[in-house]
Amino acid sequence: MGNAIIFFHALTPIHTGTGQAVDVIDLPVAREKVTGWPYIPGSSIKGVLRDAAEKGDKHKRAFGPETENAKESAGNLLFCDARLLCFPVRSFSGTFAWVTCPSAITRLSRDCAAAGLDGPPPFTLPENWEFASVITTPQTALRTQRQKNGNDVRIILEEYDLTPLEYDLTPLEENISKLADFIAGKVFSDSASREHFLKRFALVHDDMFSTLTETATEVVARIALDERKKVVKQGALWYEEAVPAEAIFVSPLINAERNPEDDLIADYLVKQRLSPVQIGGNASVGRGLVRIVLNGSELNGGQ
Amino acid sequence: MTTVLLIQPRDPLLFRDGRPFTADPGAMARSLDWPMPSTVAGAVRTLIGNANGFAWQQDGPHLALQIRIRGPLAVVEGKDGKCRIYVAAPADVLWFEDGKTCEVLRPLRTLPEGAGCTMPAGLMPVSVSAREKPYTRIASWPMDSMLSFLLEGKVPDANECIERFPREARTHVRMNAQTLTADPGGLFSTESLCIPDVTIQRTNARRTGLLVQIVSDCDVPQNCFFPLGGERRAAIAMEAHGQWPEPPGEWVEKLAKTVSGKKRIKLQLVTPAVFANGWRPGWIGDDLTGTVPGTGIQVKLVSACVPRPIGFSGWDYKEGKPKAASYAAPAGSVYFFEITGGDVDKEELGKLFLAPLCDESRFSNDGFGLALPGMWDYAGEAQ
Repeated sequence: MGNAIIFFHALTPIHTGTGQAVDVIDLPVAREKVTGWPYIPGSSIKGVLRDAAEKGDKHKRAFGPETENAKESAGNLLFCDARLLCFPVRSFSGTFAWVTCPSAITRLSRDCAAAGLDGPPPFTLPENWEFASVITTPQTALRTQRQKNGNDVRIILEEYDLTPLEYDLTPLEENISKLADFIAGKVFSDSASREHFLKRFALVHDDMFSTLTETATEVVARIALDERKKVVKQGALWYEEAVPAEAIFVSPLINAERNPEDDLIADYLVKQRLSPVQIGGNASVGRGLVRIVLNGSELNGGQ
Repeated sequence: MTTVLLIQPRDPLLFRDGRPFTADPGAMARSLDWPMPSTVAGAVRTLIGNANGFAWQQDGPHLALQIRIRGPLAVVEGKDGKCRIYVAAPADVLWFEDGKTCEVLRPLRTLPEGAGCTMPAGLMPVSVSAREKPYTRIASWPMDSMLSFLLEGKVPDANECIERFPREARTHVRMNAQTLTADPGGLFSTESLCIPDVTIQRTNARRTGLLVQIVSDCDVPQNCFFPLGGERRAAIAMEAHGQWPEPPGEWVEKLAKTVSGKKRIKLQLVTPAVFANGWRPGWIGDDLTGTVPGTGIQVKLVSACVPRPIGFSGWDYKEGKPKAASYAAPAGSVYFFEITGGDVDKEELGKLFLAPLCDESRFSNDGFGLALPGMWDYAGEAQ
């Protein structure tokens, strides 16, 4: 198999934290410096899989020896940061939308090409593409009609009123459908889930994507109770941020083994029942349960 | 065979500086602002060697060292989607706190009466007229603007320049598999360089790649991942759609005319250089005279703007141990010379365009010491 592309589908909100921040949110999620989008560090992914995978010779070849013997050799699998591909946001119609943007798709294409795998189908953005534009699939559930005669079709995501570009079946929508199909095919194995995804898929402007990932994450207030009095402990109120459930991240998995006797990804990793895994902080309060889909097969022993 | 490769960083990359980093609690690995040529050369040689089946335990390291590398230069995507080559900002231009205005530093012909300076004997300081705080974030200039500066002394608009890339600090914890809590003593931080791989208007990020020229008979793999820098972080080797920069004919002609007329030339480093005498090239003797390598131009060193040295090391594959630590004169260093002999025509100047000026070929073959020629004026003489 050589290299692989891993898709991460969040079953519960993910909190990959950065420690404490001096801001409104006390415990924010880690974000890329360049884009400001949330990500899952490659070291978290490696650590989780290393812990879950079956120990033995292949484990050592894949992940490297234990820290005490780190100098012996490096692991042959290179884990990269998982970057945000589809971000779930509230939608006026259709409950929620999986938004993505051209730059996220470009990154996915580049990852696939460098891993030697088929990437998403190419598409060209229309000339009138701007901050408030959105493109959906023909079967979308996100459209809302503002006027009774049905002429003014809008898509309202969070508090943003967006203009769907060409909502008849046009080459543009066809291309977006192929793109949505590609992602759905990689992440979901059953047709009902794929259809559910296609109906909620939306391509938005890079800057709109940035805005949504900044303002539409899940922020919860948490408190600690005084066990005896059952009232909040002094100063025990804090705000925690998480990337909402249903978010989809993607990262390449690079097999750097020079003389492979057997393929560490195909013969070792894929055969194990690793999915779902828990990634990031706050495991005991249900955060970070993630399905891992590797080259189209979920890491659950083919089940 | 010459190949030009575009290296696109995939993740934040760690190019360690010379400070020690151990697994002690609170330890922090810090990154340089731009990779050293030897780091990129080593990664590219390993990439080529693996693809061509080099036997690393036998003659692999020897074969790898036959591969000559030049660079890395930066390739940056502009707002119009077009890519431009960027090179390190020159040390003889001082930007001020507003980040927009600057002063070109020019050597003094004589020291003012009663004044002294700590420059080595025979060298003159450069003149600074403004008493403002310097702005040090401007890291590189577009190559075409740099060429007009070297020819006419024209400084580009600050908006055209690229600032230093942001760094990202990550705190890592080692989890204890039994207790599922953080392991005491397993806490450390790494700081990586975030070279943008996409252009995002909102965060002002512009997609940047590293351009290297490779001289080798081996196949150079393209469109694949390879580890670059510390922590085995990934970069992508891509086909470069542009070419390695060549000296524009008209520019060389005009520069040759100016330089031979004024009998003065400056050489500016676009990659760090390792010299036998620290900051001073080995081809400049103690009397400050010498011949510019690869040409017949005889020169006398008048002044130099050299920022702080960069301490660096690396891993010696051949010996299986760390390389001896060295100091490099940073990219952007400028050396001002008066021409004392030899023809300065367009052929000679063309040879100096992005040519390595290091004293030892092992450093030149890694991409150290690439330079650009230019003209200069004494303070108070500028047009």
